[in-house]
Amino acid sequence: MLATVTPPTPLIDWHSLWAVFAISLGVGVGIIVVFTIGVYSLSTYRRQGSTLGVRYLSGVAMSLATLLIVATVAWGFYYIVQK
Amino acid sequence: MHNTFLLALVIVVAVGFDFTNGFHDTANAVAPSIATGALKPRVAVLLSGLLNVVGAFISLKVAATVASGIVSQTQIILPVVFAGLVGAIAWNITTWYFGIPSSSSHALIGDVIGAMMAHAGGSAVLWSGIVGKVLAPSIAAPIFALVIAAIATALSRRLSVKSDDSTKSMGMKAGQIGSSAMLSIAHGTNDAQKTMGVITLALIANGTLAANGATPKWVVLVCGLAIGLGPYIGGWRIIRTMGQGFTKLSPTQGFASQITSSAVILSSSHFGMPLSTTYVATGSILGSGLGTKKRSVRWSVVGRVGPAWLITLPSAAACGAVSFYGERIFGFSLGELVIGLVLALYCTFIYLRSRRDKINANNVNDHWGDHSEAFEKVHEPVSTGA
Repeated sequence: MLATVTPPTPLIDWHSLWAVFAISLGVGVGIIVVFTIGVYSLSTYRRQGSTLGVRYLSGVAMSLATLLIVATVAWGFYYIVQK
Repeated sequence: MHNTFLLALVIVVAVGFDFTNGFHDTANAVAPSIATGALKPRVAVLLSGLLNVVGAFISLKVAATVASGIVSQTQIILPVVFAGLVGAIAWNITTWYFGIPSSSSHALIGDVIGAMMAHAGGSAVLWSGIVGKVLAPSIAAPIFALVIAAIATALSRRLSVKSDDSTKSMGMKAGQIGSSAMLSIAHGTNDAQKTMGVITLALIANGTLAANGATPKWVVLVCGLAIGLGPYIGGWRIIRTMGQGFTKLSPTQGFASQITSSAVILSSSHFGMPLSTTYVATGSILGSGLGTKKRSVRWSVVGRVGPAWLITLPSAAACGAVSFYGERIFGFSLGELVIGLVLALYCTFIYLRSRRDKINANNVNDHWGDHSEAFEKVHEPVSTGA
């Protein structure tokens, strides 16, 4: 009867390394893109001569971006405290 | 008597390491905010110091033992821990003088490895742990951060072309304040734990605390205050290298680099991958420079920091081994006292030498190259980025 061969523990945890890279890339770039969109919306909102519709849309975009950023940062603090 | 004396010395040196860790690593959290003017220098270090203290208190994690998985925990003795801490303080002070952002954790790990090898030989060191837990992450961390920050900065720059400069600057600076706060708290929770772990280990080894005993409140208080005082005193030289030396940071770059650092540090923490905060922050700042239109990075400064990273572990190991042999020559107890005095003299010498070209809150943002004494001999202009 053949003995079960347990694969040796890899020296480097490649799976975790790649996971860290993939998640950081998604979250990091995502936050910055959303934040930049928020800043652009604020810039459009404050620009003189913008039509009411443009101001309304940029106001909504700005608010959504701000909410998303605040939620992400709040989650970050929560995660640090809980881990 | 012998044990109590050694215990007291270990605690004093551990708190000293905690303090140098605080001022050495402040730059990771606040250098971009100071460089872009998002926070005034003194406000930034005060905020960072306070949040480090908060971080030290709020962590629910049981204090980790030093160099766990790196050296044999059954063979570790107090003089090894003492030698490791002494060597780590010496390395931190030296790299601080030259304004080099090097990892405090790697310095401590390297020193403990060196002292352990001097005490019990190479077999007491878990070499596979060093490759998996120290070497691989320290190579990966700056590369990850560099790539992500470069992409983030480039995207942000393109998306904000039509935004007016004052709104963009205001928004990005506000974002930087939030991310600085997050990085400071994360540092307090992680790094204060290391010193608490060392002191708890020393108390258990001395019989003062029962095995598996909880970290006493006074240890948490002392470690929290020491790591918080560090940023307030300010590692201005390292803040200067990270904020002004690598590249000329704009608010967009500063925000992109800090968010990248936060994302990499928190995700690595989630996966139990011990990435160095310093290497992540440095990689992020370099990446934010590469993400600009003119790829503005002072490679000559990178060329000075890179070799320091490469020699951190072996140099720290040599420091730890020398400290341990020094203790053994004089005999444990007198040896610790002598090595402690040598360390105090060395720190005083470095401090006095640093006053020849003092970097503080008033001149931390001066043009790179204005402070040529000791560590700014490179004059390589870079243009302002995004």
